[in-house]
Amino acid sequence: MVEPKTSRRIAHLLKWYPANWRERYGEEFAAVLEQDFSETPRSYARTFNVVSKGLHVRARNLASANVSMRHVRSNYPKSLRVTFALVIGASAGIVFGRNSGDPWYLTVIFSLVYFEFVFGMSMRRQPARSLKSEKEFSLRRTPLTRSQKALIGIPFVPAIGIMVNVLIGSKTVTGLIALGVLAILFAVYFGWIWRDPESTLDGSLTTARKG
Amino acid sequence: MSGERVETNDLGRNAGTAMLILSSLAGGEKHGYALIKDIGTFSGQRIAPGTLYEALARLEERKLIEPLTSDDRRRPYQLTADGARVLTKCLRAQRRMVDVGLKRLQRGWTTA
Repeated sequence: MVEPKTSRRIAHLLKWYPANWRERYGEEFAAVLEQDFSETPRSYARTFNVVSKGLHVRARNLASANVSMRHVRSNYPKSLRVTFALVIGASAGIVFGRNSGDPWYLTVIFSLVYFEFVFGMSMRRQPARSLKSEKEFSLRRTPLTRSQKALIGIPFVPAIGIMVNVLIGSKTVTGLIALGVLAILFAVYFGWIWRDPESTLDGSLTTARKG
Repeated sequence: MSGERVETNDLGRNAGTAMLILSSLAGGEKHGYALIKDIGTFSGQRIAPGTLYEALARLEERKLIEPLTSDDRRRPYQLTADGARVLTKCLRAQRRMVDVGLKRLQRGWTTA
């Protein structure tokens, strides 16, 4: 018999996977996780593995559906999007700023590359890979053109990494103020404060195919 | 060489995990946790649950494995004919690589 606490933790882990995947594999995956939890009650490696694979599945889903950055943002639950991006930014800042002593621009490169990898590259390359006709190209290009605003926001993620670096390194009031400003910009980017008036999305992928 | 690359590409990215799963299922149908245990026994590698299910989904999508009906939550999987064919090709390619490596070692290096 699984403890309620373990069940809750497994349910939280499963939320990192998209709904269609959970519908198909959720039950059996939960059963495997229950057995794994009974052998190893606490494992950060397992948590990281499940979360990262969940994000991979989401990225693959979105890439195969040929959706824009706007749809990516909508498809991820808000709390997961914010948590994920903050973790990336903070990790980059800590790893590169504190431990290695590397210059700040490595933080930018690391965060940007990772963020691009997870969210952007596969989707932006998709239309070029599968061009068949000019008509199809024009249909597929539309969501990309619309997603420019979202792409502009990408630098906010490494910026948070830099700010974490600054805070740890100097602990100055200036750093705190800068972090606050960036947090607001970041919240705007993820639709926390400001929402795109064109957006009528409910998190499903169906509207993505309208072009 | 290019032929071997094509064979490995049959299993896509993370071919190592896919080959371990297919090799395990070659011995008979198994559910998720039984796969983890079996792979640990014959290869010494522990596959994390997330990695396992990402690979299972990919293999099922490519019709290299198929799920069986089960009353239990633990759904068993079995190898398909395509899966057996791809696994055979990959294992043969690996055997060629192992043979070449061992022969070269025998010629130029003294091993314990």
